[in-house]
Amino acid sequence: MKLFAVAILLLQTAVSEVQANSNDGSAMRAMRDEMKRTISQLQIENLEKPYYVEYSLVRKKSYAAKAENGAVSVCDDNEYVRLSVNVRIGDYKFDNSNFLDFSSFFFGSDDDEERFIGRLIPLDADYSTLRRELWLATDAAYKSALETYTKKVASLKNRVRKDSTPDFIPAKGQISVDTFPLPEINLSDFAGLCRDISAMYSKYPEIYASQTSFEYSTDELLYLNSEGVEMQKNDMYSGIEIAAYTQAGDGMPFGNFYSAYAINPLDLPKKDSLMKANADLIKSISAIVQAPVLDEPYSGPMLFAGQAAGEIFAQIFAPQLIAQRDMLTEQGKQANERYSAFQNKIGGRVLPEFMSVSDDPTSAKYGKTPLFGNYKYDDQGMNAQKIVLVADGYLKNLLSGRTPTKRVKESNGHFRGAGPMISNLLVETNADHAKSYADMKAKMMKLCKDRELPYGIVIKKMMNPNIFATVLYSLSSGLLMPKFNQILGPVEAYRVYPDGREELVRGVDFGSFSPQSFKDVILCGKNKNVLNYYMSGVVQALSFAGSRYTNVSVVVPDLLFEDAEIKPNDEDTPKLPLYSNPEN
Amino acid sequence: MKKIFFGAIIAAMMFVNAKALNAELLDVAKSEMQRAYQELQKQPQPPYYIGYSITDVYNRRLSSSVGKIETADSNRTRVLDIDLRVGSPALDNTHIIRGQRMSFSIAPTSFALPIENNSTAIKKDIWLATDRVYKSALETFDKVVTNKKVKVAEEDSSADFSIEKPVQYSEPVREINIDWARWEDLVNRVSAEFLKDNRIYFGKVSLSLETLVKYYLATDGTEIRQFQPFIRIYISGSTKADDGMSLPLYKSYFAFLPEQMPSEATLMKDVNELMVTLKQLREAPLMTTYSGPALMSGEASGVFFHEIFGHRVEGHRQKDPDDAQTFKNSLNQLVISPVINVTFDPTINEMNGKILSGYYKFDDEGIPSQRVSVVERGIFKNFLMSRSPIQGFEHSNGHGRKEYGSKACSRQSNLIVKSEKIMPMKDLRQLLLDEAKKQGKEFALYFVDVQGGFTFTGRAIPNSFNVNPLLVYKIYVDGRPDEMVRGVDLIGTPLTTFSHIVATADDFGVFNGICGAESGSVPVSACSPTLLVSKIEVQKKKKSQAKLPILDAPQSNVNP
Repeated sequence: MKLFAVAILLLQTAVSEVQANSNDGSAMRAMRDEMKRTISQLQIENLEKPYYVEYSLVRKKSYAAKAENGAVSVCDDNEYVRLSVNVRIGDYKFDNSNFLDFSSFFFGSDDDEERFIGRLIPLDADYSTLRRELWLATDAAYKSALETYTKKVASLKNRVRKDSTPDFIPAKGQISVDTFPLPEINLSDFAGLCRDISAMYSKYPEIYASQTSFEYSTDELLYLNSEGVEMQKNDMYSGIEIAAYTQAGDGMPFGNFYSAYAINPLDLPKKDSLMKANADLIKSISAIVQAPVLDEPYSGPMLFAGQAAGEIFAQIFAPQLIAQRDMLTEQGKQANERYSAFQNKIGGRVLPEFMSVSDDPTSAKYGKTPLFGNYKYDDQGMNAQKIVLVADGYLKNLLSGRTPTKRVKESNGHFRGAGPMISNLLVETNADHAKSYADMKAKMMKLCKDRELPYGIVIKKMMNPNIFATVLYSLSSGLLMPKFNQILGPVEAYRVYPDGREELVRGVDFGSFSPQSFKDVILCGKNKNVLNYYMSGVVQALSFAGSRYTNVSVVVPDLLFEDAEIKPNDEDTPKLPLYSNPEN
Repeated sequence: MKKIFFGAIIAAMMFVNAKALNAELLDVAKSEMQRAYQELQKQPQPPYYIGYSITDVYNRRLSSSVGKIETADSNRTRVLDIDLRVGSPALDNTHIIRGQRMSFSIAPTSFALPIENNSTAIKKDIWLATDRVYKSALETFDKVVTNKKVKVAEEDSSADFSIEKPVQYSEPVREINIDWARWEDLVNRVSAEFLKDNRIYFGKVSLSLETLVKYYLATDGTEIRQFQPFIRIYISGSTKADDGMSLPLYKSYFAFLPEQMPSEATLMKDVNELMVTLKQLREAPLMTTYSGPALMSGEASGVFFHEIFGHRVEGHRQKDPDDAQTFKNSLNQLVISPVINVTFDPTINEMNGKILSGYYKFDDEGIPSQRVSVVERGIFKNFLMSRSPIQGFEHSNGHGRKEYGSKACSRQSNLIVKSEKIMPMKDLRQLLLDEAKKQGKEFALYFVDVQGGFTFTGRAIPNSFNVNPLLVYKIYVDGRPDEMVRGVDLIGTPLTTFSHIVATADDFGVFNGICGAESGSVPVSACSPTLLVSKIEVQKKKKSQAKLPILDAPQSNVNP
């Protein structure tokens, strides 16, 4: 009874706010009205009615500028509105979801159906336009859901189902508002910024190709489902990326980058600091291409410092912390092998006992540094929650949306885009294992001595897979190619000699590195490295929108691994350009 | 609509910038091309030809769905395509490698350049791109040489590249001023008309402006700058018959200049006619298979010729051993009724007051466009030639075309079918009925409007064509009124169908469209009088199995 009263109260205050925020509230009204009609009337004779309907209407504005060698190459903005409708048939225990229909996934329907996922909607749709769009999209979504439901039922007809985990977790109605004025930017200012930064490369003919880019996107979302979850929220994300490609004297292709991301574009680093970062990047590239190559495999203690600590954690450990529901297919169960290490590991140890990990979407900053994964409500309208994932080395929980798994039975407000996702991951260390860089280095050298190794290894920078795939691959005309299922090699690796001297080496690849490797961390740094980045979707490869990138951050101390492997990159190298750069 | 305003500012700014410096771009590219050529002469297998095609692309689009703007954006890109050849004109790296199903080489020949004219930046990009293309040309050339040695002698031993007289030409870049605010309002009002019919589920109107500044420069001294604006308007609506069949209809308009764009009255009239036709189509009976005589309107005939004939006279196909080469041995032979003439004429931009979108001054290999007479009084005379010679045709006739980002090959331009024996439509119709009676048919077909078509020219699959009609009528021999039907595609094989063309009317229809093939999408037109064909075949169109929407359209008067 008490709960009910609170809900009513919320409803009243929030409704007035929704109306104040969205021009006249007619969009939400259209959604409510069409929802009401759908729930009460939409049914094909003798077939089931929808038990759940969901509308997401998002207005997306994107701005992009790119420049190279002092000249702008892209300066575009665009805006569109898209509607997605999700209809569920059956009930919470068993419905049309968590079923992968290969034929319609690969080939779609050839029946000229109306689109209901990401359907393009007029920019200034009024009440009646929106009703019409909702009507057509819901109709198609319902028909498609019915077919999937039937296929799923049929596929189980001759099988004894062992897993009776429900398909969907019920939610209570609530009204959420998280809107704020979205900063207006002048794109030509940012194009100018990119031009100025990129101009530095025209003085470095030995760096063959480079690109400086700026991106800013805003999402204005209206969400409504048939349980009464109603949400209006704004999201934004922005970033600056600088990437450069060249070849070392022996032909080895090499790429390096700088990136800075912030939710608010006004929080991005200012020009002075970007120019300095760029100068450092150029300096680093020049040093690396002249560095000696790693000539033998190394197996021994390894220190990941700075960006590299964040990146190794982000690439190997973080994706494992997301709850994954195995999908049913017509051929049986389909598990996501790649990120399944922790799915059945809750209660088990995954890190040393002096380390803990939590995920906190509600924090906007770490110290003074803005965090990229901050939000109030997830994309299913659930409240963002801080979740303890690993406590004193033991796995406690996984990040989830409203789809339960065998071990995770409720949403913890982490559904983003196409599935559950991390937000801001914070790694904490007990004080007795948090050391200075010098102490960590000393410890590594002691271990080296014990193992009679002539040197230890520090990795200070790693390649980011997103920048590699979206920028460096094309910048190098395909000469920098990602290797299948392998973590990208370090960008800055150093051999550390007993006297403490650090020597830069290039041509380094990682040996095997798995989530279990993190149990071998023996010391952590005192300082934390904040890594803001776009994370690729870890939802199953073949389910919807698995390739979506989401804004997240990890906060990770430097990490000393007791044992890790690197090896020389022994691939053939492409020849150097056959004639000199025009500026030479 | 702040967005559009913003777009306009950017566009104008960049435009002025581009305008002021365009001459420079050519100079910058030229000096880098010459340097590359000289430097690479030091290599054991130097290039004998380097051609740079640089395209400044500006696109602005506006589209409206049932009365509301859906997209409004613009963008600008600059693309460099490199044609670099090693070996000699007789045998170079572009030679067909026989027996190769697919090439997995990822080496690109197309590169993005900055849109701003900064010579350092542009030179650096051109340098790296040329080096890359040269290296991959070397690899390919080695494969070509070996392939030639290990395979049987080629049927067509023509050279790979024709030597042509280099041309220098420069044309001013103009500003195309469209009143976008007015058009935004107009496309909204036109597309809102669709709301009058609840069973039209899709109703859109779009306007796009594409301007291309195309540079072509080559080491043989060619230096060309052309300016090509294209304005396109589409009205498209779609309804569904009770049996689930989707019934789309289009009306398209093409213009080179804003003053050629249709008036508001025309658009309003056309959208309403389209809606009436959609309603009739929805209620029209379903046509089944049929074989017998038919009339094809000028537009339908144009597309028909484009598919069954045009793609088969593209020169480069005649030396591809996998191509069916339908007309290769037909030179100076009768291939069609002796009253028919077929020409391809890219030098004209209008005919009988109608705009032709396959117009250009120079093709994409730097060759002046030429009128090519392909069929004279039914006798096959010529192929459409790029700079890839075939037996008996050593030179280009200005039909080497491509979209930016692709490699040029021979493509169509303005296809013009003319007849020396024409008759009034009334007589042609009578002839059709006579033919139907003779064949013992209850009715003949009349194809009024088509959407487009496709064809296969390879040897591995049957050499058929398919033309997709939008609007077809049954013409009954017993004098019953004409009846609209739906649900069929026009099919056939080229030579048989060609031999069945009987007579032509004294009218003239133009289909302006975009043709897609291996060298990308290029604007073309197809013009023809109404044709009487004594025997055509139609097959059932693929039909959507989707039901009509379950609920009725929401009542918009619910709007409080």
